[in-house]
Amino acid sequence: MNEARTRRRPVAAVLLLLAFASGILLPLAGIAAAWLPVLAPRDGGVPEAWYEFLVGALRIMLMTVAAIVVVYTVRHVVFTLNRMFGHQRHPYLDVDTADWPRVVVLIPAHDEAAVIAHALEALVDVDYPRERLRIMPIDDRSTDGTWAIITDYAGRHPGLVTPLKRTTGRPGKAAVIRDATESVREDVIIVFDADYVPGRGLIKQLVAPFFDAEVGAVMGRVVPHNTARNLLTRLLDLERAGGYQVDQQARMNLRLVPQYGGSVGGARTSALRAVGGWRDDALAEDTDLTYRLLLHGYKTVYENRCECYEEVPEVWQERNRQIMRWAKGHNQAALRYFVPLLLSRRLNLLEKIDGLLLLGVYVVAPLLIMGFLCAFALYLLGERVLPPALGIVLGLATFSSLGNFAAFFEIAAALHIDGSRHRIRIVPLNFIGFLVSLVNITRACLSLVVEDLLIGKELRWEKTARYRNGPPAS
Amino acid sequence: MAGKLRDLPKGLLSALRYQSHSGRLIRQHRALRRLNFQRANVLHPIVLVAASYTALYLLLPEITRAWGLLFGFWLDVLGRPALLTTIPEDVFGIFLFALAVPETVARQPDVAEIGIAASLALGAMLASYLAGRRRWLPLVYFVWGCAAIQLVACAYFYVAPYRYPHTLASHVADGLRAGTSLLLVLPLLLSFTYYVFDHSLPKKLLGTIVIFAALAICIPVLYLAHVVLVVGCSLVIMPLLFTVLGTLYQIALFVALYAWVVSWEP
Repeated sequence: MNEARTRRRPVAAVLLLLAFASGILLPLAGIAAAWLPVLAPRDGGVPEAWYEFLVGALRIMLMTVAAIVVVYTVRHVVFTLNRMFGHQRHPYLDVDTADWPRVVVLIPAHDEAAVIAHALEALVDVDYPRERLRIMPIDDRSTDGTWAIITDYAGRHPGLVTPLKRTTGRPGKAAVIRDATESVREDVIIVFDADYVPGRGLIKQLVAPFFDAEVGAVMGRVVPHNTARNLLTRLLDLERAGGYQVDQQARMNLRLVPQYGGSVGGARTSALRAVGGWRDDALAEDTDLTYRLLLHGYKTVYENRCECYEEVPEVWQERNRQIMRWAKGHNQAALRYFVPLLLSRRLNLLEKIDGLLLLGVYVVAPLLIMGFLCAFALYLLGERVLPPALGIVLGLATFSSLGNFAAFFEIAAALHIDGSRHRIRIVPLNFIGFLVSLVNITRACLSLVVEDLLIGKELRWEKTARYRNGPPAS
Repeated sequence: MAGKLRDLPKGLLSALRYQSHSGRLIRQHRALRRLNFQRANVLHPIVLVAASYTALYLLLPEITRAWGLLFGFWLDVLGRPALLTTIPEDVFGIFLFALAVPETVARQPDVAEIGIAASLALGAMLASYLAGRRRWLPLVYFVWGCAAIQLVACAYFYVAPYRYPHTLASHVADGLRAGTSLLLVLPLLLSFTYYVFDHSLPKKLLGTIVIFAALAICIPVLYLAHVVLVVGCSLVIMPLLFTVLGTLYQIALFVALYAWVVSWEP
């Protein structure tokens, strides 16, 4: 019971491993063939036909990568123009007075003493009928005083703050909220990470969409509050702005597939139970839930006005762990839901296309590395890499399409709409984040295939480090 | 009531809706804000794209001729005079220009140079790992990527230098070709990434001129630097220059310029 393992899928693992290996080994063979006599027909090595095959394969691979990258770039352009000029859908924004449903706010916490008091302080002060609201901080084996802070709030707000302490069971956020959900009787479950600080009106804003029976989940906008700490936090702020202000809102506008992001959001309890509850063997339980709800006919709603403030990683190592966890979890969901999504009869064509592209965002990084290796191999072999104009377009598209990244023009649009145009000037530095993501997403992809699918290694949920000095004085 | 509303001046109600008690504009929350789609959003791209391509049609031959003059002048000043070969280019039968490429011959690296280049690559890897793996992780990745490319190049020139298919002249010609391609792609790219913003037409025009002028100056200077470096260090560094400081560098430069002009006050 204490072990959380990904279900082994040896056949899928071997196929993916072969694809991965050929994507890396073929260009490496090309690079080697450029100078190793044994691989060169001109030096009496392998037959000419092998060389022809190699060059042809490299060209096909490069063009395929180019095509995929261009598709993602077109997607970014469509989203950006829609967000800038299209009709903005905020259908539940005017819901202010209503017979509000019963809500439970789950706050999974493991060693969150530095931040959890801020979240609780904000939550006990929210504008929501007290008799309909319950705040459930869940301490999962903390050793740093988190439980003491939680019990202090529970003592001061009896009935409103009802804590839960876990000492056994699987570790990790998905397992924590799964366990907590078993005892939930409320209509709506809202989830906050312990470092998030909600505004007073946020719960009402997040709950309003659930008056629509089609809505299964809701997601708000995440805004970093430690932006000014260093270059990394500034770059993550750009990424979040592009991702939420443009990407998510455009998906909402176009009735595509907005994504439930695991915090500053929630789910209808009945819908959640209808699709099987939280999966505790998923590293990205949020992406997993988004797709299960989608496949069962529920909609996920993005509420751009529901802003909540979070702490982004301040050191690169932490960022690496975060992006690797996201990439691994997201690709896990991609393996699970790619085919069901393709075959689903509930979804229209645009939802399918967007859903599939969203599932594939973390596959782009290894593809880019493969494409780069192919280009380098062709260069060393003296074969034309790409026509110059196409090379330029591909380069620009590459700068625009990596994984979790927003395109440079998408970030510019987001910051322009946000009214913080001076921040646009650091957009070129996004290349730095691009590089780090490229490497770590590729590592995560490889790790998912080898460690999880092939070996069935136990899943580990890495806790994100916090940087605040400690809880505020009460 | 409906008749009364029809008599109201056009736009009055929407203007009143955003007027505060003191008569100032009530700013929309950023979550709801969008740009008003106006005629300018269509006209500006059309006008500026047409103007840009007209300017390129007229000026690209002169720009590339100036690149040739720049190569000639600076190579003389740097004590590496070279003949300039003119390569005629024809893009869609519309843009006709000639690229002037210095026929500088770069030598093959000898074993000592290959050894030095490989040692420097390995040293950079080690130094970046020891010094920067905590605070400067992206730099470590960058250095490791560059070092890997350089080590492959060293192996190549050690084992089969005679098979290296590129010359310095072909390297520069390819780079300049990529540069002119970038200039020719830019108007279309800017049409949906920059001209749709709510900056005034003169600002967009100025921004366009700034981007084109900066690229038109930086591209030949970049390849002049390549010539000087390759002549000084031999062909062993050319794969690295092609990969890292070629097209990718030009694109990064464009993104930097783009970000700057978009950040101007509308």
